[in-house]
Amino acid sequence: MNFLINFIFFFTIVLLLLYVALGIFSSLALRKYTFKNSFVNYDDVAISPLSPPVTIISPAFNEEKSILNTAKTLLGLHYSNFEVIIVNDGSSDKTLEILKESFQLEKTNYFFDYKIPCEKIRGIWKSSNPKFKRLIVLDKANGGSKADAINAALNVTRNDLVVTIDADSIIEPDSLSKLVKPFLEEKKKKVIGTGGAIRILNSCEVENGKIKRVNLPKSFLARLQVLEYTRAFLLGRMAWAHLDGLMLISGAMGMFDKKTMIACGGYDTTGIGEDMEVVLKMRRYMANNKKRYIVTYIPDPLCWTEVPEDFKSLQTQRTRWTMGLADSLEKYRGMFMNPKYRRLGLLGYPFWFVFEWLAPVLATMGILYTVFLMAMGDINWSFFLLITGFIYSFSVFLSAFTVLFEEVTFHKYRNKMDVVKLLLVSFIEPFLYPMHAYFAIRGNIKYAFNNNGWGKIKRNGNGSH
Amino acid sequence: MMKKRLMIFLAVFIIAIIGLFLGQYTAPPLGENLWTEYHTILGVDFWLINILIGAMTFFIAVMFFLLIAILLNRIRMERRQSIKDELIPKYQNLILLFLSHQYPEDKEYMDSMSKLKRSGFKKQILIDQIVDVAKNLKGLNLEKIQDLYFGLKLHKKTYRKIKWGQWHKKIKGIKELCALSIPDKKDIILKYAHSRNEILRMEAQTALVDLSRFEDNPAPFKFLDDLSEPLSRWEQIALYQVMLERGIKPPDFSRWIYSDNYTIILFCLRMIREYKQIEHADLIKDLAWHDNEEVRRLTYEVLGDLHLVPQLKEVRRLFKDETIDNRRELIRSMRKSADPSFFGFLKRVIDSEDDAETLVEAVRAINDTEGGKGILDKMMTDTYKNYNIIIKHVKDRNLY
Repeated sequence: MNFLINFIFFFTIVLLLLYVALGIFSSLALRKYTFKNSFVNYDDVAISPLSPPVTIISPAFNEEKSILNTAKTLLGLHYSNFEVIIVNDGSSDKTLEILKESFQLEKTNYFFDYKIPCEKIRGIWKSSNPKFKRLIVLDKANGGSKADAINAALNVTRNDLVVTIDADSIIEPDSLSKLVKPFLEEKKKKVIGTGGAIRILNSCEVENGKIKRVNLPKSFLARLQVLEYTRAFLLGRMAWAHLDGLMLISGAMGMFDKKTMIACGGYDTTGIGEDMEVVLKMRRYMANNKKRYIVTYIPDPLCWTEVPEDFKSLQTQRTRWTMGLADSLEKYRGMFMNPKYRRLGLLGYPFWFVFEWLAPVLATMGILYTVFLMAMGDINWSFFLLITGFIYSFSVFLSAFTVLFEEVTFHKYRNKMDVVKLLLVSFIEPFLYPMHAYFAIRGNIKYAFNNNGWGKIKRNGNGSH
Repeated sequence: MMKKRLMIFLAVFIIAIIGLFLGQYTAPPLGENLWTEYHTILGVDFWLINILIGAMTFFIAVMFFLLIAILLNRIRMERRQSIKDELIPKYQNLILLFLSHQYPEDKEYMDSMSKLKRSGFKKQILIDQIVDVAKNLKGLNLEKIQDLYFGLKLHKKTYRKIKWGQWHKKIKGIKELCALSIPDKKDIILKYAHSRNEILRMEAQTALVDLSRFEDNPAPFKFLDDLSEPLSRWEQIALYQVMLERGIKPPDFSRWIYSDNYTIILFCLRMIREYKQIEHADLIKDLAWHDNEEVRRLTYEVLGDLHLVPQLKEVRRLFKDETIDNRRELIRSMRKSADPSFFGFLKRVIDSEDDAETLVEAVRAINDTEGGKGILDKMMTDTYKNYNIIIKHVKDRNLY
């Protein structure tokens, strides 16, 4: 009995210490990044004839309401050499018709190979108007996943660098120049992927597909996620990239080396969490083939996405994330503590396994045990309050650090009250941990019982367009 | 199978929870467990409770410190912004007055400027404004703004940054000199061009190219002679951009195409293409036998871009031993050079290759060459291999 209590206690202590270590690493990396890029003129790379061509892949399934805006935003990105592939993934609404009409599309005789698996490509459409020459619309049978849609586009594109994005995200105009930079500046290793920071769109003012003013969301749940995203993208991923243990490039926006993607077989179309799965697959391929490589990350906010504002949608999203995590960890379990994968195998994977996947399970056990003790009247109240205070103060301390990071680096929330509100959220956030633990347990159970349904996330359209 | 394993794992956890509940009644009495035991850390006895209280106090203290830091940072930023908002128009106005010679007394002018730039922060705002204006100036006006910069002794701050600052401050100082077209401190900048700090090294190299405008016998790329560190594509873009913006006369880049550093060769090949330096076409061609795959690929690309047909004819015999990417590039170059003498070779490639992209490139090469369309029409009826699908792709007017 004591052994189990001690285990949970020391597990928590190690987790907290690791967060502190990650905080230190990310602050060092952020400092360097900020100084390094304060001199960069991204226009140089955007207009240079020496810059590499890039393909943006945007899968769209029943996006008739937003597809026009998405296409226009993507075509308006500031980069001289790029194409946009919108994949109509067997939409049952008017997504394809709207695109055909708006961009004067004509069916082409495009010739390509099915190098990686995907559902049948029904046709490739291009505009007869030279104004839209960058646009390719790929029409395919529905494959039931974003992974299948991206694989189709990978079969078609001729460019070596691809950017995958979510059709409903808002992309910063200079995001391509920023994403391409690590691919151009790395000298000794091959860059196989670069991720950027994703920020929350809810309540932001949007005009012509561009963020006009950044506001803190009005909904509490969305505010909670602002804190969570900022912590994950500024603290976690920055540190893991610095440690070469990055396992995840967000599906909302990431740039990849197409050749590596194809060489490792592309996305697994039957998988659940394609974002993590593809990064692990590419990393495994590179390590197995003894190729020197790196996965990089840039903390600049490059992409803005809407997050769920109601409990049910959040539950659907988080359940899905957990299922994806469990699926990827299970598929690539051979990496666990495997020195062949260096820091990924010895640090990154174990961290995700123990502290991301297992932690909610352990936490739930702890919570249930505490409730049980309370019910039996056996709880040591003074110690319970002490340990709760300890965890709570650490959690708020970490969040305060995150807000400070945001303040001294990108400073996106200009309104002073927004920062105060964000800090207030950080005081409430720890009490909502059981909710996250519940989502994680639910995801694991659904995954274990083979229920891979995606569910539907309600979008509120809260970014005012 | 995998999921079964996960189910077993979850089942073990559920059993463990039940075990915890049951174990509660067999556990030692509360107060005799871990929480109240003594623990020895580095030979000193600690109560775990005390450690927790200590840590909690630390977190709360740091948290409040952070909250104060955030608020102070916000106040500082807002104050700085308001100073900037107030000073920038004043500085701009005074700079314009100075440039248009409307200020009667230089001393009076300098005094009024000096009053506005007492703190280091204000001085930096003034430097930034001068730099911004200087970027668009030439000739007499540029000299005048340099006079203003020296007259206000702002150069001291810049020189201090270059010599003593941290790497990012050094870069800022170097950038200020470049924007103001002041070729001072080149000895220090040359030293930085070989720095181990890659960011400083890149900025110093760019600055050397930029400031070479003021040399009697400019040698903007002299640093390439002994550069052992790789020259990334990002650096190459920066160097090329500064050449374009400043109108730097390009040197003969063939001088470095046998460098031991393959990234220098890549840069030179790119520059040879951009500045169309075809005098040494045979030297370029010889790089097709280079060990590095990327160098060979770029060589093919450059031969095509510069329409060096005789050299392409020579290197095409390397086709069969090349990697798939390099093969594609070689075919693409033949398309760019649009020479009918490649028809036979391209036809053989189409008959023997299976890679879709290579096939498309080869058919495109025939299509884009005079007399090629007729060949493709004939190929459409060929029974040996069905080319129709590729030819239709190439002839589709919407695709190219």
